[in-house]
Amino acid sequence: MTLSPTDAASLPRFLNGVAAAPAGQAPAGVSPAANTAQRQKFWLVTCYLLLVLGLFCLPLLGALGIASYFRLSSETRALRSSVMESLPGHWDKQVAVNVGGFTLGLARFGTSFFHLPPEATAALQCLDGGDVGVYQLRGSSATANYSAMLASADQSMQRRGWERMVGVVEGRQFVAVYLPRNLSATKRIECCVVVLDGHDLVVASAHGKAEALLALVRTATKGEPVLGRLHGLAER
Amino acid sequence: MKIIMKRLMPWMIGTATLWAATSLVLAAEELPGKVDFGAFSPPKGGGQFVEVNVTSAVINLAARFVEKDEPDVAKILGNLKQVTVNVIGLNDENRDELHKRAQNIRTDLAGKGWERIVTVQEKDQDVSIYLKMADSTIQGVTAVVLDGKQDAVFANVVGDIKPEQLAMLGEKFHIDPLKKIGLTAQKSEAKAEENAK
Repeated sequence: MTLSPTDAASLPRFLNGVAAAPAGQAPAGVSPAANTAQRQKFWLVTCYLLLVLGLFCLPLLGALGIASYFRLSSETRALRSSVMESLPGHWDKQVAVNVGGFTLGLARFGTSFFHLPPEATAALQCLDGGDVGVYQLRGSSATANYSAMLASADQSMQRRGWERMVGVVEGRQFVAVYLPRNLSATKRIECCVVVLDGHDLVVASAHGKAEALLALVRTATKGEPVLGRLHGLAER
Repeated sequence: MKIIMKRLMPWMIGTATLWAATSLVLAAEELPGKVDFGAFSPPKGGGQFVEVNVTSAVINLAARFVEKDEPDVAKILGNLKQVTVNVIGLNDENRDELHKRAQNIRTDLAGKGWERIVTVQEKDQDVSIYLKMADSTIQGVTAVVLDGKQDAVFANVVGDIKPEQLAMLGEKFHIDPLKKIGLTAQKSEAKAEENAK
């Protein structure tokens, strides 16, 4: 059957392709029913693929998420490595925990249903995340070269844009505190600490909001001289 | 495209040169009261070693912490740019080197227009406190202390602060060597006043 151009124009748009097919050739288009079936099939396959992908990815993402709780941040790892390399031996991991913004957000949401002391709420508000690792050196009688340790830690952290604020060596104790070079006193505060006491190593980092920290300090000190009180708290 | 690049290139080079020159000038004039003591390393054999470097961001944060309850302290902190304190325990290995370095720093400071305002030499203690002023504004305070056979202290506070206020600063930040230096400055000031009377 052939249609004249005027007849073809009067047909519905989706059949135009069929109508416009040159004489003696197979029509290029498909019928509406076939078209709908094709679309349904496409969506069915897409949904199936998404479901399969989701089924595979969800456990993978879950596993990655769980693993992230035990993986320290890059700064903390760098600090740990620089200390461990300076004091070779077998280091046993005691604890390594990393709590991120998502978990703390959940904690904030969860605790909003309970009545908590204002200090606890403020502490949760100011902390965005943090991680801590505790390690113990076994079977090594090597004496630590604190000078090399400090130099190595400084170099490693400086590459990441961090500067040492405090460095203390006394007897077998070693403490270093690092802050980001571009630390903002108004927005976000970050801090990285390493403490080596004999064969016990603790590395930790935390980041939070400056404004919330300020509120926490004001709540915790209740009008007492702030810096002295903070130092007292830290000593405790 | 080539024409645009040709036209833009001189501007880009000019801007980059201007930026580099400005940052160099700013870097040179950023902290006029700052003293570079050089790098120190912990003494071998487990002697004492303390290094504190409080930057302006931390000082600003501390000032914000205290501005409500201790506005006077906040005001003093607001004028500061940097606080550096080095304490190195002395032993047979580093004593000579640190004495020499202290002497070099003192000579260097005198040559760079720092005014020696406190000199205390009694028993084994040797304390020198220097002040850098420009247009009646204090730009920085530097202290070099050789405390007998125990330790050497090198401290530099950049900003507008009187030497007598160092004790308060040391107390607030819990930097004991700074507190001691401040107390020495206060004693010296009181002695000078007595002598003047």
